[in-house]
Amino acid sequence: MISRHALILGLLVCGGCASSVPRELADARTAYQRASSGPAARENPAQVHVAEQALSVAEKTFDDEGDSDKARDRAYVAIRKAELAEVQADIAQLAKQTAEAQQRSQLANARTQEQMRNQLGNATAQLAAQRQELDTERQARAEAEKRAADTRAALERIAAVRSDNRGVIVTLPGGVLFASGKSELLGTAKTKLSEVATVLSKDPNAKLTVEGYTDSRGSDQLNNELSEKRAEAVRSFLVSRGIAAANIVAEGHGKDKPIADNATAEGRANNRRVEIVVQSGQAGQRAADGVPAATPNGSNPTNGSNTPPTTAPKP
Amino acid sequence: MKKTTLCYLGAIAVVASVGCGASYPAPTEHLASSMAAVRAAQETGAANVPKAQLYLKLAEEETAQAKQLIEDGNNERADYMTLRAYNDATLAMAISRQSAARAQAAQATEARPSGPSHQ
Repeated sequence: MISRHALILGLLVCGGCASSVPRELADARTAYQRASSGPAARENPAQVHVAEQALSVAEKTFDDEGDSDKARDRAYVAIRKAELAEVQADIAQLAKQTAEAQQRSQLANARTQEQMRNQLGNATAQLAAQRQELDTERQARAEAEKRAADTRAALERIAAVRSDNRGVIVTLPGGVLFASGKSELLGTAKTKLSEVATVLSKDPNAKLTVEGYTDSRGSDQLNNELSEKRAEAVRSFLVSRGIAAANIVAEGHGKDKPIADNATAEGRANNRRVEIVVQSGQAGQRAADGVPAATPNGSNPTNGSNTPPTTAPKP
Repeated sequence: MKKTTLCYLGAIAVVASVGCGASYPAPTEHLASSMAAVRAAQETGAANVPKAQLYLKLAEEETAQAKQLIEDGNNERADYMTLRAYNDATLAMAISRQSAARAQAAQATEARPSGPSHQ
């Protein structure tokens, strides 16, 4: 390699000394110098060698013949050989750049596809979990509704039962539960309330409200106190029969919300009552959400009418 | 005698000179090669790349010149003209390919991978 460069250098020096070096030969020396010292030497050494040989032939022709047509033609060829080496080297570099860019692009695409696959997998898993959750909720709702229906059916065998938007309401006449003006439960009352407690204990998540009512006779204060005490007496008895204390509250309403005419003895007897409002587990939550509780036959109990249910399962 | 000898020598020199000129064969193969190189350069689109177009035109002119030189009986000069034409055409073809490679590299570098849509 060193000897080759020395030869070329010698030729260049010798050419420099010559008095009438043709322009083609001078250009050929310049072209070769540029090719042999640039990227072509690394990327395309074979073609650079071809250019070197062409230049040597041109130099020798010039040495032998001087500024002849043949020397000019051979120098011309040497120029093109050197230029070709440079162009081919550039093509090789461009091809490398292209391949690298394509590889980067492929890697990026592969990463993107992987991300999309992961996203799809996550979405699918999330959807499956949501479906599972929905199925579980549907099943729980169906079970709760069945419990509520069973509870109502069982309660109907014990006492008068109706439904409204608060839930299932069990009405116990005051005459059955208490002596006049008293708030202590009668023996027969305990038997009936025990049956009620047995039924209600089968729906442990049910929320219960015991509401005491009186007729319109007497002062409001007395009626309120009496109704509160009677409601509390019923609540305490139900708790003693296994109903969770946290799930049951007692309220006294006095003469409010009469269900019959207080002008007659029969009406007043009906107004003296204790009502137990039952919101079964699922129905209790639905009532809290503003959705009416379902009746045993699936109808909407709002206003006591048997209209078709307006609620649909959550999507 | 001397004059006669000189005349003979002169005649021999002339005959030898004519004989040498006639002995250089017509460069038909080299001409065919240079014409093929010109066609190849044209097919790679050298005429559409300004720098390559210059060399292609040189090669075409040199090929035509070589044909004329052959017709004129100047075979040796014609041979070197085909050599010039061949190398000009080859360079034109390489420059044309260089242009295409440069465009391809630019396209590959600018290409962006398609990502997932974020809706």
